[in-house]
Amino acid sequence: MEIVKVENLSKTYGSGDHVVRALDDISFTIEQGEFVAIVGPSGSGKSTLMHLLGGIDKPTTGKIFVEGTDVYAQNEEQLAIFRRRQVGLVYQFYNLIPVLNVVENITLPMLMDGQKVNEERLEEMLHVLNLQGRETHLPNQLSGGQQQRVSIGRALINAPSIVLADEPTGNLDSKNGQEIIELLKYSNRTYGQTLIVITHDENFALQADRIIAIQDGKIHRDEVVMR
Amino acid sequence: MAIRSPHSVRFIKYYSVIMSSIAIVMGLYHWGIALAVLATGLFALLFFIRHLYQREKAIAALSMQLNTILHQQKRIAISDYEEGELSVLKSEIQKMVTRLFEQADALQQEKVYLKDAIADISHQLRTPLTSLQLILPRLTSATLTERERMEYVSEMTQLIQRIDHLINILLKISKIESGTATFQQQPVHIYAIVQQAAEPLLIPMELREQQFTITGSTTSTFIGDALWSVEAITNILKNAMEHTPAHGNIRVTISEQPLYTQITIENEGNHIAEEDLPHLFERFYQGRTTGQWNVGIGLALARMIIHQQNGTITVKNRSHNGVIFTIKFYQYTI
Repeated sequence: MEIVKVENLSKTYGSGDHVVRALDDISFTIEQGEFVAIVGPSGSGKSTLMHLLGGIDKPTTGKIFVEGTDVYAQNEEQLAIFRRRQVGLVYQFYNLIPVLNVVENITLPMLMDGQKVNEERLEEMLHVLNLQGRETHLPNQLSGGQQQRVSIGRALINAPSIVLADEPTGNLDSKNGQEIIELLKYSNRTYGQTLIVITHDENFALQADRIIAIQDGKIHRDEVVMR
Repeated sequence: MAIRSPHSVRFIKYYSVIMSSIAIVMGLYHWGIALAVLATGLFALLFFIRHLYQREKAIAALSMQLNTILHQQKRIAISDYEEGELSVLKSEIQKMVTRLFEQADALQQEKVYLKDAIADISHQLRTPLTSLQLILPRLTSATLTERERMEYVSEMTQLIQRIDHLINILLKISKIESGTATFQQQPVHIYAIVQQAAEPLLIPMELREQQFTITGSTTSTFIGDALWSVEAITNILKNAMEHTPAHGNIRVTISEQPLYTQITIENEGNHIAEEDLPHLFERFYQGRTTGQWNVGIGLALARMIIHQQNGTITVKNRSHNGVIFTIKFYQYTI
């Protein structure tokens, strides 16, 4: 069952003689519960693709459907709500809010949505994230690995349609990196969470169900990883 | 004073006029306030009624959408991405609908899987049966020597044992697949179950002069079922033993990680062909290096048992020689 459908997506930056084609007529679909790794050299357009999937940027042409909703047919306000309910984002540099503590950072998407936090679920989440006892710590009191775990919690708390992770292990040593990979895989297996990860880490990519390789704004390879 | 008196009289007159006008205005003013309050109340009431009406309409629209999904089996987008409780509710319903469709999909896949499984199983049972059918008439031959007869009997015994083994494992697999197998949820001492799993293999290993070692944490536990786990590990150890040459090493290492407990099982046999690696745990998979008697079911059962306990198993070639199986049992479940 497809959860993401990308149709003839193109994105160009600049105008006139300085046009840069970041994405060039890309189409693909992603199934519910799939774990997809997007790989490609710097400047291949993979981050642009991720931003478009997350509803952060606007495509030049083409459409993206998430759970049947045409993402860019929505107005700004709908788009903002779409992002906090249907998209979980994990960045390389965590992007936590420095003045909010661990619990506040994790529950932020729910609080912004005016939703009550399911305390029991939060408890379990903190347990899985191995952040118990750090509930009231501020981001600058945490290690890199811990901060990334908080940002994964924030991405998962709303059980979004898709979790997008842009180089989630890029800023971590291999041990912490592997822990983050395990967490993401765990959410994929346990919640059936659809996961789209940009990575340079071959070891990480090979643990995905499917690898999409992007080069010069086009899909260069799209293969299912058998295990 | 005499001149002033009319002034004061006039003043009093004016004063009374002004005061009474003020009184009238003040009276009106009070009425004004009352009116304003009334108007505001009325406005608020109208606004509230309109809000109620709109919400009622939105709920009606939502139930129409749910009706479409429920009775026409159509997948439509419910979420409208607006502020407010109703929109949150829509979003949650959307997520639930997605999950239901996903489950329906899984059920369909299950059917296909079952059909394939039955075809596979019949094939696997038929192969030794065909051999038996071929050998049996030869036993009736009058010119048979005693040695030939014994050879046939021993061959038939092997074939029957193979069928027996196959049925045993298939029964276990079907128990797990149908969900009738009960898995305990109790702390399992990994070191102990590895020892237990290795026990039936210690003599065959000795005959092959293989070294078997367990290293690492002796206190690690996970929540699961000890008996089934022993079955899984025995199957993997058996595979390791069969692929390790004489005098080779079979090593089990247990280690504890924050999120999971890990068991690795290494052997010193040949590498598994790259194209076979991804299929190793598939039921009845016949790889390039599979032996004649190996039907490829032990590892399939092992993986099933591990998956049932929220674990994973992967296999990799070691850099120089041999193969390493990695089992991870996760500490937490949600």
